[in-house]
Amino acid sequence: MASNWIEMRWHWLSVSLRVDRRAPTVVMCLLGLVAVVIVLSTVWGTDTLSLSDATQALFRLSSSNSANQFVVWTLRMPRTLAALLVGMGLGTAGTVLQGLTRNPLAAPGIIGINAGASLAVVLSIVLLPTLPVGGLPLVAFVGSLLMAAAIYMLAWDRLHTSPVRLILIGIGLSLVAAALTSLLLAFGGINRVSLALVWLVGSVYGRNWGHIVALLPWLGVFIPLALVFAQDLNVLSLGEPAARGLGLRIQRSRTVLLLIAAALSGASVATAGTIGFVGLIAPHLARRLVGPAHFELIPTAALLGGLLVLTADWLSRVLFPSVEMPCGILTVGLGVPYFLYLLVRSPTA
Amino acid sequence: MSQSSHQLPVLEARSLTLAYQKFPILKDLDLSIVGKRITTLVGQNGCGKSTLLSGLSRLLSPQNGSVFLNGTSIHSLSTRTVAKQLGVLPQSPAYPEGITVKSLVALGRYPRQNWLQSWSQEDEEMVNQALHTTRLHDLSDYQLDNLSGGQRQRAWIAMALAQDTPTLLLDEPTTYLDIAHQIEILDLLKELNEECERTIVMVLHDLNLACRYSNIIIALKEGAIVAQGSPKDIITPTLIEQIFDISCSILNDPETGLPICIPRGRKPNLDL
Amino acid sequence: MTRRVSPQRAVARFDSGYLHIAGFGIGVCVVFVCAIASLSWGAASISPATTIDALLHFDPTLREHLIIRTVRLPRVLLGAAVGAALAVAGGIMQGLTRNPLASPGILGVNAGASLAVVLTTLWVGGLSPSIAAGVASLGAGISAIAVYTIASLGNRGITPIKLTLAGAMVAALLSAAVSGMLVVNQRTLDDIRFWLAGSLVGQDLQTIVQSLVGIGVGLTFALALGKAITVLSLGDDLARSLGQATGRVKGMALLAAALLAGSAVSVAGPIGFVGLVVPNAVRLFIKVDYRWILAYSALFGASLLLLADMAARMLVPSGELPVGTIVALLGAPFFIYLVRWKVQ
Repeated sequence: MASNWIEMRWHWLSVSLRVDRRAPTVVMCLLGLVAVVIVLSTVWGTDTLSLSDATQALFRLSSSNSANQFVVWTLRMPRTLAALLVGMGLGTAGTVLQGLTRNPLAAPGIIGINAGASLAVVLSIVLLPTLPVGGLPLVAFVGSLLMAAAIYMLAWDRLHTSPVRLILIGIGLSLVAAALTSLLLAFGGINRVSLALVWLVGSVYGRNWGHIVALLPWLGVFIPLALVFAQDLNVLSLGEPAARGLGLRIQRSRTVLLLIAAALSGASVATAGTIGFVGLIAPHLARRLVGPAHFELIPTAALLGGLLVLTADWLSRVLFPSVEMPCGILTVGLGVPYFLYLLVRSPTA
Repeated sequence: MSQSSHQLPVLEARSLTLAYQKFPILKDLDLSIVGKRITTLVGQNGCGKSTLLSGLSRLLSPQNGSVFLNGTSIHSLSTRTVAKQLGVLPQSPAYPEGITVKSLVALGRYPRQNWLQSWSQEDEEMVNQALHTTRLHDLSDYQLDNLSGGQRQRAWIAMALAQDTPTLLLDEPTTYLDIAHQIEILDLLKELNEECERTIVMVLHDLNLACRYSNIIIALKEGAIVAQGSPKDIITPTLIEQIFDISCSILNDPETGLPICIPRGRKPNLDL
Repeated sequence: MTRRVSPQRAVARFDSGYLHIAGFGIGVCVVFVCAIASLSWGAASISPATTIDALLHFDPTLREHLIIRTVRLPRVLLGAAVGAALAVAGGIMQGLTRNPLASPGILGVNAGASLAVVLTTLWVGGLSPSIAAGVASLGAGISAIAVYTIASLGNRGITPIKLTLAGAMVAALLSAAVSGMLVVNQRTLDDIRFWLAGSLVGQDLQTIVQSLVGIGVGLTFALALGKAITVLSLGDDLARSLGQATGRVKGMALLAAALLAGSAVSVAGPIGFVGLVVPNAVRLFIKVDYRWILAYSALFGASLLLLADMAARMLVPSGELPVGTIVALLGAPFFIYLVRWKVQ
């Protein structure tokens, strides 16, 4: 029987799995694109290095001058990797949340991550001007997790947390936080507000290796965990009665999946600000490439999210050399037209 | 119940009370489902058939009483253990956009998979077998969105088959299907029952099809069991009048000898 | 398909007509009380009796009557109209997309209005509220047309999923453009940030009258479409088989929503909470019939905005708090309570 699957079995390990036939090609292509953009992004910036200079600096050849090495390894590389990792985290979190709630508008925003992080950061930027900028990721992370916890606790019920309840409570609380944020933006000192706005839009400007080291463990733990729970997401997509009939422990799965999404998006938002849009769009694009099964969807969406933020950051440096344009803006600018094109072309939408 | 005296019932409800929010649908109900037979629940809309099926399949937890699966309380078993014994096909289930028939059927293997063994040889064989039994192997790479109602229903049944459970619970497996596809689905279930010795419990609306295909009919009215037994024994004009409030004649099928119900009209003196 | 009819639901079905009418009457009274309270409350406290007197027997020689008629009445009318308009527009969008996360914002009106105002401010500097209102309604209109056009491209016309996603995407794109301009231009940010928080302050009478007319037309239009939206919310196929020209209904419903939200946003700035939350709150009680959902949304939205406006004036009597913030702070606890009570 002809199959759309590639099947893999290693009997001596008791391991077996199957993936959609399209997935390996798509993932390899995306990896290739990511690699190309990483190189472009480290080489080509506000002052473009010549190819040989850049290669020498990139591989730390002895003949390269130390200024170039500084530009490539201290300024550009960490920021580029931060963009990639943040995009991957948000893409995965969005996929998990859309699968969990079965709602195509779901994004990290609905579990309050963005609203909580924004409020916490704007509050500290506007009201605590002495706080060092280096402390903002921690503030954002705490804010986002507090918000997610508040939403979950309010939505929680003795019996179960239904996705509808979660969505509605999420809307309510997020809007409160958003309203308070806009109040602060309306009345705070204009210089502080301007600074806060850059953070709100999302930017990887000035990220260093410290940020990467802080972000990596979160992605390293929770993206694989999302893959482990991919089959639970597939079963959940059949609706609650069928999922229960298949023996899924719905309450446990939902809690774990929510935790995964909160950790991934919280860590990402802490690093780069609220680039919320990636979590919304990456799963949709990925579904069009590899279909609805989550084991294939998660890596695809992660790479697409990473590629999107990475490209946006690079382009914002190349296209707007004089101002520091936050990459969150270009992320939307790049993603939306392509997505709309796909949407209009789609025969089933 | 004479049949069950010598064998343990597969599913048994003891003083089961089921409720939505605070309103009891079924009260204090006792019921035994005998193994390797087709049992059909019939009754008016809203009489509690689907609720009973949800209760028996632990989709709805009881307010009182309990359900026993092979003698063990179903609520004390892990949901995964139950899923290896009981396949459930809910009414009009959801499915994600773009899923193929084979991917859907493969989800039926979920209770038997773990994180490392997510696609064993056995999984593949069972899925292929389920596709063959439901005659869907030519459509296995089609998307569910592009199938007809009958094919889609067969895909759901194939998923339940891939689950490889001795017992299947189906809520109105023939809804939205024309007569030919209804017969097709019911023939398939009969075949599964006779050749694979599966126990089947289902809800059906068509009384004549219920008589034709079931070993045991359980008639419900207002959340209580009015009669149960083989179609020949229990289907009488009096019973039909009692459960459906219609007057009817009962004929016997010249070929099978099974009862056929011909409705004559609403019961004349309906309590208004 | 069997439907389990619980006794509770059977009762609800029996007398829902009377209940709805009674509830509607109470709702009208609530709006009226809020309006009177809002008229009486302020820097100069005026008794409700005098307030009513000023409305019924206006005496231009009395200072209190003048305050009521010329200062407070326009603002109260505007507040009630904006609240009702946003809530009804939200109800329409949620009905059309069958998605509780939909709001007037996904028609692109908020982002379109903001972008238009930001662009104009960037070129000419600070705008007077009435010019901002004109510019904003233009921006809201253009973006609503863009969303509608994109959603109707392709071979199946407007589907709920396409409308939802096209709207979300256009809104995201326009908001990103707004943020981009504000990030690079601090002076424009300073000029515009109060408008962005959503406020009822500082509109002249002519602008208020214009937007009241727009909202009035939109509300009539929306309520007249209530039945058609109910049918549509059951699904395209069913609606078509019941003889509905679904494409036309969707177009008209979107037009009504755009008119309502556009008029509201142009005078009050992008207030997000009302359009998203009020229809959701109403639908916890009324599931199906959009005639009632829209009518109740209008009443609830109007009273919520009036209360919020009063609270804003109460908290900071001199400087004005943006009403958009207060609406969310007031409405959210109530909404969360409703969700916890009604959604199992």
